[in-house]
Amino acid sequence: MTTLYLYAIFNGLVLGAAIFLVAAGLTLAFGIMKIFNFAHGAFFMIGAYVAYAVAGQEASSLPLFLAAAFIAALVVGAIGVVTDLAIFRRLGNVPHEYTLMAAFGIMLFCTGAARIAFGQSVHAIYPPQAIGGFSEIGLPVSHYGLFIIAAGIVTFLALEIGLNRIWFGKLIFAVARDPWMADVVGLRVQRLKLASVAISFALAGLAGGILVANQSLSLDLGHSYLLLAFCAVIVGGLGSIRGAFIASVIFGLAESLNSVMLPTMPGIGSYALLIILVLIRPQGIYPELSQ
Amino acid sequence: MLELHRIDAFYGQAHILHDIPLKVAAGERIAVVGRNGAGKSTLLKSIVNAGPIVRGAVSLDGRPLGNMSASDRVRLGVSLVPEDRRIFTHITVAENILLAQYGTERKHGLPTMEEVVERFPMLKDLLGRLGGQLSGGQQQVLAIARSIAAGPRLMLLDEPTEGLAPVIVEDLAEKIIEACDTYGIALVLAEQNLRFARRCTSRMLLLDSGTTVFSGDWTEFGKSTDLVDRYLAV
Repeated sequence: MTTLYLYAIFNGLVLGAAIFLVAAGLTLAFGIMKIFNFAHGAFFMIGAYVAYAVAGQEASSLPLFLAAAFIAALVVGAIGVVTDLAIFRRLGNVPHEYTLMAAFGIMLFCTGAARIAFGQSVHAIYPPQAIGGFSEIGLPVSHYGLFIIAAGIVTFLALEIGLNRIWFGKLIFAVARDPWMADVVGLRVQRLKLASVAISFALAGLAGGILVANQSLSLDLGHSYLLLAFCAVIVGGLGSIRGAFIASVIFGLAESLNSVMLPTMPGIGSYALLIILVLIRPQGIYPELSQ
Repeated sequence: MLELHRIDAFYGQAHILHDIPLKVAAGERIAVVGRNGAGKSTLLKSIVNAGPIVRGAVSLDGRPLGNMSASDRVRLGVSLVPEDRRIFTHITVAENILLAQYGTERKHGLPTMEEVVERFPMLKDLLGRLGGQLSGGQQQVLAIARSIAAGPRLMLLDEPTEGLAPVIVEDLAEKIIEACDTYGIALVLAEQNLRFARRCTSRMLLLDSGTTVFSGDWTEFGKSTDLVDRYLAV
């Protein structure tokens, strides 16, 4: 019984890290651009397809697997730049509902474009051999799971340090908190926003490249994590990286323990938790950027 | 250096400023006074193109600024200190100052941090403190220091005395005059505190409901006794 719960906790941490990888770009886009990007899942899916196109069904080595994920990040980041210039920037001075509708339209467009580019077949993708095995430490621990946890932590630390410690991050935060004053002190607000969008979209591509293994790669891939990522972004405090990280772990554990404790009601734990947390702390765990 | 050629300013359909002319020479200090809602803040924001839609020409050194963005106007040497200070609360006092200098994209000729602190000693022990942890008075001093650190040729100062204790107001006037004289900064000061405005400037523009009702020096203004009663009394 204990092993079962320990296993569930490990899986919960893996799922939490995976949720964070998707939520990171989502919360960044909201915090800086005030865009609730419904198309984020579609860009995650495109990232997964790009990684698949680069590394194939099973990457021959870990460096190739990582390179494919970074190429996916670059490609999706570039798509983000085009999307921002063509669509989001033009909607900067209209009510947010228009941006939501635009994001929904972009999601449909991306799904259609991916269908044309990659077809409708479902592909089974495997991690490279270097992280494809298991270790027995009282319970079987997958190396790929450990890799995802490490990727989540590294991404979190990179964003935390990048946004809070380095100058570029401080400029981005300045634009996020007060774009009017940022403009009045001479910051090139549109360029900084564009860089933020590129990073946000690149994070979606990176998540797609990293999480593509052990998944059935299809046009619906984005949906698998997006809902939980939205929950994490809301509960974490809209726009907060730190909050999204904590909330992702909470939802990962809730989802995993739910499958052990209430196997006949999958997912109910996460949604009950969402309602409870929103009622208790509607401003989120770390409401830093949304203030 | 600055010339407004009869400008009109709008927020959406609301017509806020009507046909305002203004000339400010290099190093000159001028006050814009009027009641709440007279259009003082809108005038300053119109000069930097930070909000209102402006009709009519704003020129700097004879060059029409057209639709040039606020950030580009900063790089020409125009700096606005808004009424609500708008300190970046997530970064330190020193970083607020550095950020304003970064915005100018100038590598040379800006006051050093030591010079800024020497001019505003209140900030010396606060450099490492987050902007959000400062009192209202400290934030106001930082807002002005941040503007001066950006090496402007023209500073637009919007109601700097609002909410400040009288002793801080006295000190602030001295600091502003000193800084403007030292660096040759021209000043447009929007203010309701006539005593403060008179101390800091040599000339004034009186606005009422977005129109100019008086323009001249403080001595002329003092002679027109009815102006205060008609346009400034509460």
